[in-house]
Amino acid sequence: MKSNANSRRGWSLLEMLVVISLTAILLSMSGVLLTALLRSQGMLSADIRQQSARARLATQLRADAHEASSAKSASPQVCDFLLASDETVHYEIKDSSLHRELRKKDTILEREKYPLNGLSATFAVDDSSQRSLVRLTLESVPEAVQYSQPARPSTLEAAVGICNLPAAGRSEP
Amino acid sequence: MRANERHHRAIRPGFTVIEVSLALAVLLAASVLLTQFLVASSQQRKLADQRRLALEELSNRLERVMAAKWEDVNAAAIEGQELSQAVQENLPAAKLTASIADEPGGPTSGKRVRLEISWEQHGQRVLPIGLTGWKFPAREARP
Repeated sequence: MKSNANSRRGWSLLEMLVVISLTAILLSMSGVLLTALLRSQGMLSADIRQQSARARLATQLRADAHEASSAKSASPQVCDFLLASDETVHYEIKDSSLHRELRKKDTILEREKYPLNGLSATFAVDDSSQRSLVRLTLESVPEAVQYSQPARPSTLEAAVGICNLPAAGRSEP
Repeated sequence: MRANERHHRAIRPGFTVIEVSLALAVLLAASVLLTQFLVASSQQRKLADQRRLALEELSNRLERVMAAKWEDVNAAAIEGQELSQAVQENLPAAKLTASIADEPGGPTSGKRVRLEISWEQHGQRVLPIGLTGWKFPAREARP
């Protein structure tokens, strides 16, 4: 009986402690790495979302500006593009997003909204060149709520009326 | 009895030094690989951000060219304009080059405007990002 107990295979307490502490170290290391990995993935996907929204806005703003015959900005929060056939495109910044409306007289034909992700936006029309240049500036607001994924500030410029040919010109061969 | 004890100690299960060092080496390699992956991903993110900024600058510059007078469109004037502050801050040693070529095309001959921007990263210039646009004279200015 005694001999049987002596030959029992097993680990000492010290060995078990070493193994447990090593496992704990390993687990915490992999936990840290996994968290970093997940965070970087989250940042990347937020970046992609933000960039595609920005690209969509830039394409739309430039298309409207190129198509328009004139642009005016009554205040930094508003910009209006005058299109052919009595249509206007109205851009307005309110409730931390940019609203776009295509209007024909008093009827609204299209309505879109672009999120600003906590950035402040201002319109300006620069008439120093031959054609007006609309400038939309997206800046970060220092006193605003800080998001974990702050949006990147940027500037979008659009030349007004470069697609807009005079009516006589269109009928030319 | 003594011999029996010694015998027991000899067959006690455990790991050899080689086994332990092998396991440690594998672990080390795995963590080094993961760290390298994280560093590379953050570098790629920075580069993607720089490229986005460069493309944004080029688009804005091209819009300015389109808004400018036909006579004012020349390489020196385009290159002479200051780069935006965001570009100056985030793209080290950024340089914008413009090349303008005549594009003969029947009654509406225009100019092909090619803008390129390049900057430095780790002491090397990155492959420039370019954007091309076509400028035509306003109808009233055409001969």
